[in-house]
Amino acid sequence: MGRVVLEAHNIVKRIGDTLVIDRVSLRVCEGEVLGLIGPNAAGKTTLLRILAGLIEPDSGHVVRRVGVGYVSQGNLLLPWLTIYKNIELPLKVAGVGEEERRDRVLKVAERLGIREYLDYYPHEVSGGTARKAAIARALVTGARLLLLDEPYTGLDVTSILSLQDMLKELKREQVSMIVVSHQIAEMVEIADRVCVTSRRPLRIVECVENSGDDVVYKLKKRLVEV
Amino acid sequence: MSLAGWFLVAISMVAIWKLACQFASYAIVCPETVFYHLLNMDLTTIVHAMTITLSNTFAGFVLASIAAYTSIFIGITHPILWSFFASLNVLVQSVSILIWALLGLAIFGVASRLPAILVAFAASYPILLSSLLTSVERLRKRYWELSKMLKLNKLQELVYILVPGSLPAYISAARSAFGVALRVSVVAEAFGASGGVGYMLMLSYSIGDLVDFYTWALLLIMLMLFVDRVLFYQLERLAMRWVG
Repeated sequence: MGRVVLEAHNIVKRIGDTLVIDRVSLRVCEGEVLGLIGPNAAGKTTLLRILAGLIEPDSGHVVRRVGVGYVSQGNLLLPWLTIYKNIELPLKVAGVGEEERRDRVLKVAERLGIREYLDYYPHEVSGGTARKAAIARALVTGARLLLLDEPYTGLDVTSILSLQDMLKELKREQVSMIVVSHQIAEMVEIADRVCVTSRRPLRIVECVENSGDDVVYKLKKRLVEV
Repeated sequence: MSLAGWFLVAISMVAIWKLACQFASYAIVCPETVFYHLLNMDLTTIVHAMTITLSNTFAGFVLASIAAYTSIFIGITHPILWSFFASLNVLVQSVSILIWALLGLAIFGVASRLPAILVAFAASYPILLSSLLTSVERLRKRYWELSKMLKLNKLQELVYILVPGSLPAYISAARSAFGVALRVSVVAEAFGASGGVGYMLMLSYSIGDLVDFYTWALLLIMLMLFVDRVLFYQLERLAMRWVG
């Protein structure tokens, strides 16, 4: 594995009086895909938001050494913009010139296989294409670490397979990822390492290297225990 | 509504009108008399009166739109300001349009167009603001992660998310706000003005010219339908094109 691209140390987060995240530490290396799997409503999304810098932890700190792109569960593509304009938005906000914007949008769309959908509105494309577009928007600024919250939720089998292929391709390009999911089979397809999280308050119970045939069994066993 | 629907409504209305005029001919002029009078009216007078009414309403409506979006922009800068505008909205809604009309007349005088504009503003503003407050609140809840991720400042949030996202809600509210503004600005014109459809209605009524009165009433209905179908309905369709 390459250099460390993200490190989180002793993250603690309370929402009101409820302790949501309890002393979580983790690190991700260049090109590595880290899976986070655990019960629903445990605080995985909150952790991901902290890692993305969207919310601040109460204590602990996060070190980000590369650009981070966050893709939330609902895609959050703006429905009044075409796929092209959605992907272009971060560049427009950052004040990138029109020609360069066009160049970068076309490149990332080509890379993710969604170039033919650029003129469509989000409601006109499949869930899988919309998710790829959301990933393209996260990548267009040059992010080298993707934080994906439940990327497979709500997708049909074909879209899941197509998205998996795309994520594998990104992995080959040394893009690091943290993927939150509760689907073990999809997770082991892509992750190098899978960390099982506890029920609320969220803790990392165990991290399992994705090697050997018994990974799925190990993860299932661990998940049942938490 | 389809063309057939409109045709049915028109036929029913004319039939009811015709029936009513048979029973109360002392107060209701029959449709054929009104249509005949309409065809013989001076076009310049019609255009002049309608232009005054439309421009009064449009001015009040545009000012209300600007004020509503400005309120939203100020409101998103701080939660206290947001609740200020939410409360102001309730307050403005509870003040009768009649009070605004009389207040406008007292301040600006009978000869001025400002009372009608003020009334159109006062009628439109709470409808637009109410709709925008709900829509923008929903948009901010939904897109806060995106705003944070893109590091949008308040102005960028307004330009890239809140204005385009609230456009369908704004246009829908604008349809009803403009309709209300048009109806009430006519009332303000009737109270005291030197032109406009409201003034012409009041003038006809004062001199006891019932045929003229009904013709102006018909013209007012036609004007409202025209504005709704030709302007706002088309705008709404345009703004809704991205809604699946």
